Amino acid sequence: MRLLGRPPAPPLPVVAEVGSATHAGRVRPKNEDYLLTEVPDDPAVAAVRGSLFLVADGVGGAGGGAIASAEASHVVLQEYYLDRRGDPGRHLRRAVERANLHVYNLRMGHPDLSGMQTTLTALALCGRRFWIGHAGDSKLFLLRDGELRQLTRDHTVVEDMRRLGLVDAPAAGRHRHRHLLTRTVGGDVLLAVDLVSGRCRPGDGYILATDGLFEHLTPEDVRTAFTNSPPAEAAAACVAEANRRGGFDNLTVLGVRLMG
Amino acid sequence: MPNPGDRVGHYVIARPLGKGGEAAVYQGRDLESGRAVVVKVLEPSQLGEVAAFERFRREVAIGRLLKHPGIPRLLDVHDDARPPYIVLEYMDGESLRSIMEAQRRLPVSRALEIATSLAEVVAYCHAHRVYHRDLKPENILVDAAGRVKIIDFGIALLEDAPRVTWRGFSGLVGTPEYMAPEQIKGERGGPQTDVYAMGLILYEMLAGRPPYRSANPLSTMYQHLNMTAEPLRTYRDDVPVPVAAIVARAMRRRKEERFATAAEMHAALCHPETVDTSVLERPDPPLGVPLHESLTRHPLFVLGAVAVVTAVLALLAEMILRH
Repeated sequence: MRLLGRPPAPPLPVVAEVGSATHAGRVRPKNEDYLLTEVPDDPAVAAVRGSLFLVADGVGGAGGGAIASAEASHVVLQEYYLDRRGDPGRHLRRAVERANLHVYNLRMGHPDLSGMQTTLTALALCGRRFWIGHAGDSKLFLLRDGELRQLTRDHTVVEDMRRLGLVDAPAAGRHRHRHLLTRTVGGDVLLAVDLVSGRCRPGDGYILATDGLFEHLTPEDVRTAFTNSPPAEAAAACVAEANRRGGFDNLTVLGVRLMG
Repeated sequence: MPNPGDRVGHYVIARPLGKGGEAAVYQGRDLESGRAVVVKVLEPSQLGEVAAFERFRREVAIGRLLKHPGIPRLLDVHDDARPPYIVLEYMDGESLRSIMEAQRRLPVSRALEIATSLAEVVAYCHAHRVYHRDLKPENILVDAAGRVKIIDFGIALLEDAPRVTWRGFSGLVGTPEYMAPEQIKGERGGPQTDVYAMGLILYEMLAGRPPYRSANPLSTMYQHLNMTAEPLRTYRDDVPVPVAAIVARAMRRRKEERFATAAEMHAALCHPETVDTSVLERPDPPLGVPLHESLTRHPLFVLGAVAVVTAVLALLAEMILRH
């Protein structure tokens, strides 16, 4: 017999496994991607801010891209955890905005790095919800009940063209200008950060990846890898396979799986 | 990057001429010969970009290949300098853009003279299998004798777009006003791409405005794929029908319906009386999503149709609920 009253709340989703892999690829001389994983030990921090995962893909030669992606990632990490009051989503957005200003100021102050910018996709898992802060064309997928769904929208010219009906989806994937970005961290003084939020479910998988991976792999390849293997193995396998198929760009993938 | 007065090798920088996503271009002077030159310096932020450097090297290859009075000669190459730079012949002339700004609609004879000279230079490039892919009034100089010179082969080399932002868009992948439909669709572009741009340029010289133009680059691209340009002769009736037909054929949306090469277009411009004018009557169906055009062109009709359908559905629902 069930007692009258509210049913017991389901258990809080807990991060079960995290795994990642990053590689320069076989063509570019340097890896300008960056990734970060933060699962706080302090229960007080974990309760109000949860965990943070992010990938960033630096733009701009002469080493600037690597600086932009690393700087932006660390600013987001710092800003997100610095203030523990208020809504995690609002904080995540503000953290990405601050990272944008930081990279913008850096490149303004260093003429040799004037082209540096970065994409950035950050996932915050806190309580029963997730938040995504996003700018650029790195991608975040939700793997739930065996299905993979992209939760971020690419900020590229070709994606805008696709939405306008100028090119169809297969043509967009092959389009010569598919890497032309319309939004980046550090590109301009103001950045409109995409913020996506949703409810976590036990067993959810979250996959963050930079665009280089999808030069060679399809989302279905990624779904298969992360469905059949733990995140660390799946991430390594994806990067190895992308390299085997040419490794034209830097490759980064990060997977998070919640307790089932 | 150098500033006016700086020395780059044995060249002294005089003034900046322009800056694209991958390179900055300066007018300079050769201290050994005293002649004016153009110094093109690879943008330092692109130094680590393999693709950008490859394009730079191929620009050198093209510079060595093409030798024509309408194309600047490659004088010097320093690909091991930091940053690498090349030196080109400085060409005198007024840009077609400023000619069109001074006189919005050029006399037909003047426009034809420029278009014919342009087609002749482009035909030379095509004969050497070099396709410009970014022909526009800003890249075209006209000298005092009316001869055309093409000054920027920056994207003629573009194999794959580098990872750049929207800001550098027009400098790297073509200018939306002069982009051919196949470029918009993602193709690299070939001889018919230059033919399309030449058609647009001749149209603009005669009509006083480009056929497709919008404040938003995506909207301009949409127009190339879906909208029908206003016929030239609605702007001015002194444009001969065969000339309007040459422009219409060059501007066909499907590349296989255009002149196959610049040489073919050049021949038509030299002998307009031989041109088939039936192209003016043939429809040029859109390549994109047709509903948008009907919405843009007949918004009241479409909205009216939606209102009628909604009203009928509401009436049906009410009848079903009453019975």
